[in-house]
Amino acid sequence: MYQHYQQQQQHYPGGQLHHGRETTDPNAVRQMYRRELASLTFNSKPIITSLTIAAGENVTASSTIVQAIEERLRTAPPGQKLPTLYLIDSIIKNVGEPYLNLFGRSIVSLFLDAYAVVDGATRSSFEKVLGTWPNWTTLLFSRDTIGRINHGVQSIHMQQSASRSYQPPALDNYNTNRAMPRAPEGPSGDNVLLQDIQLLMMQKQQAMIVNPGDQASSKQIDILRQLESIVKSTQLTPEHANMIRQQLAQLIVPVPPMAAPAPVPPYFQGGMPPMPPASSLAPPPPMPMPMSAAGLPFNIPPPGHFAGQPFPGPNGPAAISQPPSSQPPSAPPVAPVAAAAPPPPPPAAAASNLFASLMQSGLLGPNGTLSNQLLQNAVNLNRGSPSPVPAAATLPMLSVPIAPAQQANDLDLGVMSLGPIELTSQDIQRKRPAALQVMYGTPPLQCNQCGYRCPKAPDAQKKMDAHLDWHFRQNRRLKDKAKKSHSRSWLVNEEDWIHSREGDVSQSQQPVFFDMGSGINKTSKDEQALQEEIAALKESIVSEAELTHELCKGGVMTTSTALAAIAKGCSICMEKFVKVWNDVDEEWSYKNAMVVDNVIYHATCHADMVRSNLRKTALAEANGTPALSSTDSPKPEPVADLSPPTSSSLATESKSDVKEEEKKDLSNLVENGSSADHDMKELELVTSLKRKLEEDQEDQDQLATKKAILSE
Amino acid sequence: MSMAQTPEPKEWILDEENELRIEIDFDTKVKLRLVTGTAEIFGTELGQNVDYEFSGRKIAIFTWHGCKLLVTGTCSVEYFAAETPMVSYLNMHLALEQRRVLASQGNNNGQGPRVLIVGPNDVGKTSLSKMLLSYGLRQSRQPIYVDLDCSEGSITMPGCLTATPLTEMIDVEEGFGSSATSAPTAGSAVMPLAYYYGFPSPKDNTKLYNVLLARLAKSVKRRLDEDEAAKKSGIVIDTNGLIDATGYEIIANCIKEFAVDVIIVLGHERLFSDMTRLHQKPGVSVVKLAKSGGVVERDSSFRRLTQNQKIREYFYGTAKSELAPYSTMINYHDVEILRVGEGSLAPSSALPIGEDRKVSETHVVKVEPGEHLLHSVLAVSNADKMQEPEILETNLAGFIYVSEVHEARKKLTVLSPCPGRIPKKFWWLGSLKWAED
Repeated sequence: MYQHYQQQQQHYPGGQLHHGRETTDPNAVRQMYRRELASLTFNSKPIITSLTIAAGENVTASSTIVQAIEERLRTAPPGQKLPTLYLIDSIIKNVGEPYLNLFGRSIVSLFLDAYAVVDGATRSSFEKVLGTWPNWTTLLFSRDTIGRINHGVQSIHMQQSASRSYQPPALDNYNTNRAMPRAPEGPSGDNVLLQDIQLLMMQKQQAMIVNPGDQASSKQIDILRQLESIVKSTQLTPEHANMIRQQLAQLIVPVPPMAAPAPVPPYFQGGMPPMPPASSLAPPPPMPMPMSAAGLPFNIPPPGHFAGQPFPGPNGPAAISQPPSSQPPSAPPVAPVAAAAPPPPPPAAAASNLFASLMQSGLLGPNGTLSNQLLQNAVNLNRGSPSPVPAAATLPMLSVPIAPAQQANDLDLGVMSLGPIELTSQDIQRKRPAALQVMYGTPPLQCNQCGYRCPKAPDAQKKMDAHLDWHFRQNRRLKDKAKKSHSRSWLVNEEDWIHSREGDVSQSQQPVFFDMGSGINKTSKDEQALQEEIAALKESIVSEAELTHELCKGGVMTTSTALAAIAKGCSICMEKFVKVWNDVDEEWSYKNAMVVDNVIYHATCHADMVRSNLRKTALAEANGTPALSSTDSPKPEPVADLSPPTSSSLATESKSDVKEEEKKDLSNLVENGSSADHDMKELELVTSLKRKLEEDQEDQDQLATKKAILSE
Repeated sequence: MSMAQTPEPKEWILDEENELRIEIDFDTKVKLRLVTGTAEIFGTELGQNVDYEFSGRKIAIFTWHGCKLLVTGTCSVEYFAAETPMVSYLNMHLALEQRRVLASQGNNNGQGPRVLIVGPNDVGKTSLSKMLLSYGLRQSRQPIYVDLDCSEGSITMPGCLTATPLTEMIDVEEGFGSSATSAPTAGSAVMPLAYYYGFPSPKDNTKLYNVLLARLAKSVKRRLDEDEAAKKSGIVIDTNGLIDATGYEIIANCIKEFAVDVIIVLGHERLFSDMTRLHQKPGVSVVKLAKSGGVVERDSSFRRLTQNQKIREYFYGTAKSELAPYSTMINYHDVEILRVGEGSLAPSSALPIGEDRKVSETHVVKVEPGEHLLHSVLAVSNADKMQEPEILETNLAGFIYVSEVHEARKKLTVLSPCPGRIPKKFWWLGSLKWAED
């Protein structure tokens, strides 16, 4: 998903198309707002407050601001979506119009798209926010809008809890949309078309989530996104709009009515959407059911048409629960109805038809650069659409007995679906086209610093975060290497080797050091690293000239007062500095001295101060949840762990240790960063640390919610 | 390298399943960058637009999907090849992976495959080991790498038998990573278990070799019993290229001690036929794989340079992650220098490298410190007391290098990998010499 979103960032052209309509230098506002938004990577009340105030002060630029926020919510990595939702919540509640109206247009897809990709804990926070909307003191969104969001939330729930059901949830929702009276927004032709596009986009994104290797869907999303921009920026004639919608209709996957989804109550009582009954978690019927034609304003081909969709259709789950199938899970299902149905236009053809008709309608004139790009994409779409693993179907049936599929993870399934590879010199030579899929196809996350791919698993994002943290530490230590040296340590003895575990990346555990019999090695490695850094700071020397220069910066002091300041000693501990002669540079220098904002400190004293301040701030931040009324005061310590439990003895390291370590890193970071040398890597760590703090907060929220449910 | 010598980057566009093979001299540095597509080096995938730097290496960059590469610097050899045995190597991995899946489902007592790679010298055994391990790591496995090639020492130093649990990706620049450093290794910091053999060939002291092999196997087995992830992932055993009668004896011994169930014979028909005849039985598969055309014969001078590079890296690290060794003075009487074999001792420096007196015994002999230790690399034993035969089978704490001998003052100046006193007093003397430049 990480990659996926990066792509979105690259391809998302959306916002830039509107700002021409603005009157008050929207570009400047937009730039400013976007910059601010970019820092909203964790749940920070101050940032949200300041962004809310900025929105209130710049009502004239409201559509630009809304665009920027929407873009941020769509493009932010799943782990960073929640703060943006909090921002929207804060703006609509505290500023109100015109933002209510502006967000009202897109909130359904905005909310659901984000909701679909975030993890379980974040979802309950999303639901909490949603739960506050219907009962807010002022009318926020229409009943219809909130009903649609609730419905979508429920569909996503069902779809994803029904053990990897491949059912795109949206159409159910879609039907309801059509059947319901329209919201008072006033549906213009463009609006309906936009919603169709967004809906289709969401379906494709769902398909991508279910099957990240689905290149076809990924390309279609890009194209749809561009189409969306075109529709937003162009005044379409009703005929054109209709034509596009008809084309789109062919791409939308019909969904059987859910196993009797209870009618969604327009308002939720407790802020939590009702969970679907357990029985409805069963996989949906394997065949697509004809959908209610009355609910749709345009013609939908019979269900057989959709048999060849490039992403897994509703018969996917059936294939998975069967005993070993010859299809790798990523291969598209082959629908048995295909033969009986009238020859359907393959989706690729449908897509190119779409573009053909767009061309005909003159919407995509040959002169527009955008249209050329679209055509190019259409070509790609055609290429991407055929079954990604054409040879998979010809593989022999798997004869190796394997345990029920749900016990194995996707990776294992992929490997086993290749069919047994015999360890004979002949069989080992045979080329298996699906083999590469196992190595390159399924994992959705890849580290851009070293090529590491994170195997597809529920905890993939956490693993990848841990991996990136590890990179950060390595890079930081690498950067520090001029300051302090590293050495190879002695190897442990046999018994220790047998019983020690290296631990996974998430623990960032360094190898066990040699036991010298002293107590020092009992402290953790990061403690040791910290000690080393302190020692390095103590020994570091700064020349008199440099210190004087720093002190005189900005004309605060003269050289003589600066020298006097140095002579006075550290501003924190008041002790004098140690003066030494630097042989190499042939000048007088001071040990352990540094100047920050024209004040001289011991580097160690200053680092200490920064560290304790930072700890306070971090704790304060962790306790603040903006725009949410319900925060229970006595918070139980979250028990959820950061990494999957391993049998390793090191893995038993308690979470509080991990936190300590993080804080240490954070403070070290500030030590380094205080010399105004903030680079990207450091920002990365701040981000990831804050995200962890935020996750802790999430855990607590979730626990609180659970408690609330239990007490009812 | 000065600016003048830095040539323009050279662009290579590879089709799918092609391989770019480059050889880089020890005194040059070459930068490699993957611009588009995918590429891997010995199974480790390259990141796009990341610069990798190599020196004194012979590497093959393989692409499954096609790629564009930029090579900056002068390679002594560079060409691309369309024919590789990679398909069979990947199949091999997948077959092992299927066994790991079965193991995690409780089959085979939950034991992953124990793979032995045999073949003559210079057929790419170590490269294949790396590939199989990397592929396993890429799928979140935690295999153990057993290196029985005492002539090379992929992980620690030549002259050792080692086992190393791998949990992180193998770094393309640093190979198997540097063992247990406090350094910011970009690669994996690994913790090997090393036993000291001290000879370049298993033939030199077959008895000792087999004793250590059995000990190593026992320790690995004990660890596997506790380490669930490693147990499921299995082990990959890289061997010395010895395939004569002694070699066969060692292979048979190894199969027994490690309970090997997959034997890969690389690039040797007769060996394959012999292995099939001798070892194939229910539960033990023997598979033949072709050697890659990219495998080059490494002459003795290349091997010696590699060895020197290895020793240097042990103390000083790589350009990417430099290490600081410490120089200390040691009194003669504070250490015990030991040697396996016969009592009388002519300085081994009198013999060419790679040749040593034949010793057949496994008894331990004390060696008087003296000038003959100059430039020797000694292995520091983890043993606390001199007790035969246990001391032979005690694993290593590391290595030191004798940079100076002060005969008159009865002192040695030694290079130690890290600060502080050297933890143990029993040091093994082998035939390893190094001229620090």
